[in-house]
This record gives sequence, structure tokens and C-alpha cells, in this order.
Amino acid sequence: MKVRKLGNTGLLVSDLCLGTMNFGMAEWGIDERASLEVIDAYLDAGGNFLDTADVYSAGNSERICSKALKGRRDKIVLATKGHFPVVAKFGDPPDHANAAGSSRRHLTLALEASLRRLETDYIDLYQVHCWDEHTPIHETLATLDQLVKSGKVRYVGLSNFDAWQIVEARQLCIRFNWEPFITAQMQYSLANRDIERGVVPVCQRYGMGLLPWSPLGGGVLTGKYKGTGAAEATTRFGAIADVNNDWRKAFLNDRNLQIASTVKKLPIRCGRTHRLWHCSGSSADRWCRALSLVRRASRS
Amino acid sequence: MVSSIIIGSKSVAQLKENLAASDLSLSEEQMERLHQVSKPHLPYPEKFIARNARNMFSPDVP
Repeated sequence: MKVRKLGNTGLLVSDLCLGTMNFGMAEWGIDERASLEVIDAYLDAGGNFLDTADVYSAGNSERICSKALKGRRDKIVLATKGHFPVVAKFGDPPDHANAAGSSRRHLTLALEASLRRLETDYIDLYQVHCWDEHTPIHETLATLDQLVKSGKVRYVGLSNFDAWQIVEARQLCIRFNWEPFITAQMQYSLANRDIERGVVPVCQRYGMGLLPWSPLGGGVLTGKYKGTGAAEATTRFGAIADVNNDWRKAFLNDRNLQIASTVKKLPIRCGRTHRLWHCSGSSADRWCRALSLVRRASRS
Repeated sequence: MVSSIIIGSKSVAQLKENLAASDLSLSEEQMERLHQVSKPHLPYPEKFIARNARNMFSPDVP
């Protein structure tokens, strides 16, 4: 794995970050033992960048990561997130009015809870998981700045913001000399290139590091889904029985299946039993780098 | 600009497939095919700006 700068900072991360959303998740994820095997294999392969969130599996993902950190915390760049309510099932309402959002109160408590679950005293990259419609952005930014100054957070990042929201945040940070968002973690793949019209140019302008999530379109780009109907219950969208579910349809739809089909036909071969696709090198700009990780399913 | 791509893996076998993708590359022609099949709808005003900026500064571009 190659090492790259995390945005315009001195922090170096692997060019492939290990996502942990499926760790400890009952529906389509894997248990603790299997999760730790994946983390070990990733670190053994030279990876150093783990991304989790307080909401993943209601805290279980962070608890699993804590076990992987033991004895090698200093080698690992650890990213987590706060904002959403930590509830049994994602989407359920918060326990109380202040158990969610990017307010000073909730973010401060959310970070403390993450530190406890991760059994560490600092987070390398602390990300707000989504724009908050209710909290003034300057409250969020001042809080994040304080968290960095407290020594509990090294860098701050954002996830799921619109372009103007990133611009406003950056301008306030310049004005008040606060720690700025250095990364943007956004959905980005051949299956969804929506951020190219706004967020991508903003990231370029400010030298922010883009961290694409779901680079395989939730698995749809692997070609393992044969249609938009019923799928294996152990797959991410097969686990959603309602074929009219909005989240399911956003990923598993005819357009994305057509894209996956095009990917499949690309005459590139690697390995004995697996076919893998990737685009990088000279054309590593805008979307091509982010869209590079296109893996065809090879479960057969 | 992309610092790191977040991969998800359900097994060590899947992880290895993901990691191996780092070493592969696509030709311009293949990239163009992927671009054509996946290009997003460009709404107003982005489309208007993109087209007119091109016409003004690069007259050769249709």
C-alpha cells in the first residue's frame, strides 16, 4: 500500500483505509472474531488507517477496533465520527433531545464515549458525521477547535456536507483561526458521482483530502447483484427485504447495474481466480482515483 | 486530492481482493467507457457555467 498525505497535513495514511461499518453488525456484517482477522490482515499488509464511527453497530465497531489497537496504537491512524444518536438500530430516535447532533454538548459527550469504547486517549481524525440543520456551524467549529486544543483530537474532518457548507465552515475557521476540516468523507464511486459538481472542486480549492465511502457502490459495482429484486439475505441490500426501500433503491437500481455490467466487461485480469479493476497513475485526478476500487465479486 | 479510499471487507479474502486493486490501472479508453456509462446529470447552473466557460476560454471545445 502506498502512503499519502491526509489532505494538506503532515499526517500520512495508507491510500486504502479500512472501513469498519460492518464490524459487529448482525444484519450483513461480521462478528468480532472475523472483524479482528480482517483488521490484522489489513495491518499486516501495511495499512495504517482505520475509520470507524460511534454509530456503527451501536458502538460495537469501536469496541472491536479497541482490541485491534492494543499494543500498536502509535502505528495506527484512527478516525471516528460523532453526530448521529448511538441507538440499537440506525435510524431509531435518540434517547433524549440532546443525544444527537453537532452541538457543543453532544459532540463533547460523543467524543468522550468514543474514547472510552476505543480505550485510547486521543483520536487522530475526528469527523462530524453529517451537517447539522439545527446547530450553528460556528458552535460546532469552536467545539472541534477546543477538542484539538484539549489534546483529545489531532485533526478534524467532515462527512456528508454540501459544498456551500464546507465553504462556510472554512471561511469561519480562517476568520477565527480555528482548526479547519482537513478531510471530507463523502459517498463517491462510479455508482454515484454527485459530488463532482460541488464538493470535489471545493476540496481541491482548499487542499482537503477526499475520503470516498462506498467506493464499490455498496457492493453493487462488484457485479454480485443479478437484478433489483430479491438478493441473498447476507448481502447488504439483500438484507433489506423491501425492494422499494429508498436507501436500497439508491444503490441497487438499473442504472448502477448497467455500470457494474460495463465494469465487468473491461478486459483487465489480475490473479488466478479473481478479476480486479483499478484506475490510477497519470490520470489520478478528480474521479478516476476515487472510482478506482472496482472489484468484481468472486464469491464463486 | 483523494487521500484514502475506504474499503469494506467481510473476510480476509475480500480484503485481499480490495488491496490488490491498488496495483492495477485502466487505459484512457477504458476510463472513457466508465465515464460515459456513469456520468452524472449536471443541473443548472453548473451545466450553464461549464458550457459557457468552455466556449469563452476554449473556443475549440464544442
